[in-house]
Amino acid sequence: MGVIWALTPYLLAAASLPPARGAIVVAYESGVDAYAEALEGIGATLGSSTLRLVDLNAAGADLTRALGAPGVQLVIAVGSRALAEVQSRKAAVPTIATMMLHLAEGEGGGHVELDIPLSAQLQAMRWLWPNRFRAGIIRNPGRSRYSAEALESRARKEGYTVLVIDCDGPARLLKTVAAMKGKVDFLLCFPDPDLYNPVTVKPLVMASLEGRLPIVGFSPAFVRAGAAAGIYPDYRETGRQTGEMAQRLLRGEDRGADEGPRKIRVAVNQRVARLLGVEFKSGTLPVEVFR
Amino acid sequence: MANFRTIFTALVCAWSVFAGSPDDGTKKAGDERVLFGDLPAVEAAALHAQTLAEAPANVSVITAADIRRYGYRTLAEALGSVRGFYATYDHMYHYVGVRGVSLPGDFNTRFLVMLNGHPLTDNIYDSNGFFGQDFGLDLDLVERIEIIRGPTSALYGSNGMLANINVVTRSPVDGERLRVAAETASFGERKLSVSMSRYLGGGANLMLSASVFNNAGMSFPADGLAVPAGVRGSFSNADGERGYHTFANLIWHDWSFTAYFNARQKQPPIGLGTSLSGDPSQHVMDSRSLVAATYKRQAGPGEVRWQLSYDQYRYHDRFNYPIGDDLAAVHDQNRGDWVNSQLTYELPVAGVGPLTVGLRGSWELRSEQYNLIDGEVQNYTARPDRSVAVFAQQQWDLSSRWKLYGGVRLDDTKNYHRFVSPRVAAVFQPSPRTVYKLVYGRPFRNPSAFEQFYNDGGLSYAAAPPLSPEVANTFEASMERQLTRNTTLIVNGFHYRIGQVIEAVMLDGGVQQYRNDARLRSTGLELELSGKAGGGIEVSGSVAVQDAAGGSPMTRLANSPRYLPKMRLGVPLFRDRLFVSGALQQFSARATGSGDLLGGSVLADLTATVRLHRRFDLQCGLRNALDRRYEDPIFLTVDRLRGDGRSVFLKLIWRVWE
Repeated sequence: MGVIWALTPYLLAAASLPPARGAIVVAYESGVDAYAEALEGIGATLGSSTLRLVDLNAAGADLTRALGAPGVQLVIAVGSRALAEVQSRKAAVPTIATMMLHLAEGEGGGHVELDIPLSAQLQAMRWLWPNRFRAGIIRNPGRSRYSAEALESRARKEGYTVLVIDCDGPARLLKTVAAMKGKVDFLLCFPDPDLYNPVTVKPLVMASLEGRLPIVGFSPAFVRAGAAAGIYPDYRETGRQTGEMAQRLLRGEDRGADEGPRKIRVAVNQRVARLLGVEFKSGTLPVEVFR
Repeated sequence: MANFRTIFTALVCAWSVFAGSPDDGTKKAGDERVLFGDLPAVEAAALHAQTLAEAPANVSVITAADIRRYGYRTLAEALGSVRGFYATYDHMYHYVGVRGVSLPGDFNTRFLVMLNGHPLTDNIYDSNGFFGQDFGLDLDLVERIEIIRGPTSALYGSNGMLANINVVTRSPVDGERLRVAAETASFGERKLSVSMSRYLGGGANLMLSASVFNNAGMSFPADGLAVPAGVRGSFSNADGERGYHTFANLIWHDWSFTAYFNARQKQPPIGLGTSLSGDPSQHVMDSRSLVAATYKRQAGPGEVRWQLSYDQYRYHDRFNYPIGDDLAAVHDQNRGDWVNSQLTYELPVAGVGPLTVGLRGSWELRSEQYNLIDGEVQNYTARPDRSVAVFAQQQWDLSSRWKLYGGVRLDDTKNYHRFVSPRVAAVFQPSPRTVYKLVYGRPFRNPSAFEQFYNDGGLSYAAAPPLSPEVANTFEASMERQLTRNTTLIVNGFHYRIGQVIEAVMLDGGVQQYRNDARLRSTGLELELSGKAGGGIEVSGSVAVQDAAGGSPMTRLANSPRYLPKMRLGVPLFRDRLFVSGALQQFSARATGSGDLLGGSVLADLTATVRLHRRFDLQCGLRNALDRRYEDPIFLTVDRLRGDGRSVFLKLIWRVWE
């Protein structure tokens, strides 16, 4: 919330300005801290005077009018709802989609996704918990873009062995975790609302504790909920990355690309680590510690 | 019966008002929301937290934050804030009433108090009379207090009639590395406590805590009391209290080890039986200790839990009885030692729901009661009991909205009869915001060794005839409804019938005897509205309306207020650096054991907690801030005692090493 308050003057100023030459429309939803952080990064890179912010949750928000205003050269859609709203209006200018998972190929724009590559996650784990090279991965066949073989291959390149078990729904989740017990050192969880949600997280964490199997989650909330560690994007940096992509696109240096997050954050749940007897390394990289 | 019909009608009306109103749907969010959304923190992640099984009952929870913000320093204070509960104090023990039942002369025997799921009932009095400093755990160590209303004998056996109070301690992984607290209060109260937690490596976490206290006590008027020669007007130095608490918890992988040792010595200002009052040489000493190990792990499709404990209870007192022209110092000594073991297995039954089965055994190594008069042992009684129990509880998930619970427990003891206690409950949840519960139970209470076997030759207690277990039939209906995001309404109706009530009756000459011939019933309705306003302001209000009667013909129960309204308000200020809270509690008139009505009163408490520094908190509070005069019904040499007037306390907390 603090970020939103800090941004309020920028937002008000930007919203009240007429679209200048080279204006960029940013569609987003208020009320999500991660989006606010990304907006802060976008604003820091592009400057607030060029941005035309449209809060889709605000009364009277008129995205159609904003997209049709003269001088608009680019649209940034923050989040999947914003992208859907922009696409439904068939904007005549390129669109950059950011702060989303699993983006399909777009047209005339770029993507900044939130999927952290497996290699980056394993590199973080090597730093955080050295000498533990057996990773478990639960793959949802209905969502995963990678085959089990592809995941194993990528892990091998990082010096890890992975055990990939398919799980097509929450009903099989605990059995899948139980099947990994003793065979892996930690369990990597990829963002998947079907498998990991407020209903499933409690039994999952309990199974992790009872099976002495540390979970590596994908969000701060997951770490607070009981994952031993978490690896997730730096949303402010994702915003900067989006802003830089917009600058390149406006300068005609590229026609848009698909990028993953270039900066990640690592967190540990000290309480759970102590329960599991896991000694995470405190080294040079910054780690958020949740007690 | 008319009252029960009224309550039932009110519940049906409440049901019809709320059952029909639709709940908000939820918006479908994009996949990335899984990264941003909140997930519920799993409290049981502490692993050692031996919480009660998911209870099909109306539950209240006092959290660690409540304890800190509202300045609860004893279990009696904390429970006194809960809907339908009330506490009385005879300056020897605190007595807690619920459902309008707290008979003078009882030893808090109709509910269970547990420490991390381990019953604290002693084996002499079957008492849970530990609510003041005689409760051997400092409330700073409490993570939460779960209060489960209604019968729990189907899971926990004897004494689980009216409610179950489970005190869950903080996990060693959550505690500060070193914490010191010092406390002082009116009536010469002083207390110092130290706690520490350490990670020992390899998944082992240890918490240690110790405290000492020494209270001078207040002065009492000598009016109407038999006091030692020379005492006139009032007496002081006869209400002191001192003692210590220690607690240790080690958790390591699937194991949790607990040690709980404590003792308290209290000077009772009011005499017992025919003894004198205001005699500073009189005292009672209680010690309730235990060491326990718990092992829990997945086994096959379910979870197995095994508990083994050694429990100890010590009590001795000294009261001076006038015999002829002389005073005889009588020391009452009680010693209990026993071993418990319990094995439970909880497994999911495909297509039905979770099933819990368990086996419990208890072996008393010692159960001694005797008197020492002039160094000579008299009235020695030792009747150690042994008991075994089997129990099972099945949950049937009939649909996404309906759940049915059925449980039964068979208890068999050497000293008493077998008893079968069933409980059935239906839970209907038409929406995530609303839940209705109906519970029927048949809980019981065996006579305690004290009630059955103790007598001191007629000084204060006469020998009891053979006693049978108390048996109750209980009916509960409740509705819990989340009115808005931050507002919750609870409506709870109950009807209890307890037969073969074991009750102390006063014989000629002020001597008590336990008998089995009473019966009682209690019918009531409770409402509670709680919520949070902007800025973190907490507001709650509740009222309990209850009609409890007993005897033949039925007359109003002693120490049973008909109305118990309560209010609580908490306001955080200066970005939570200061928390100011207030509580109002009213109780209507209560009868004494002799049938006299004592007027009701309103008690107001104020507490302020300020964070002076990152490592220092200062807390101060006023109790009975309006200095209202009232009397509690008691069962000593007199049947009423003036309640405490206005008092103030001050507490400094230093987190030396976080």
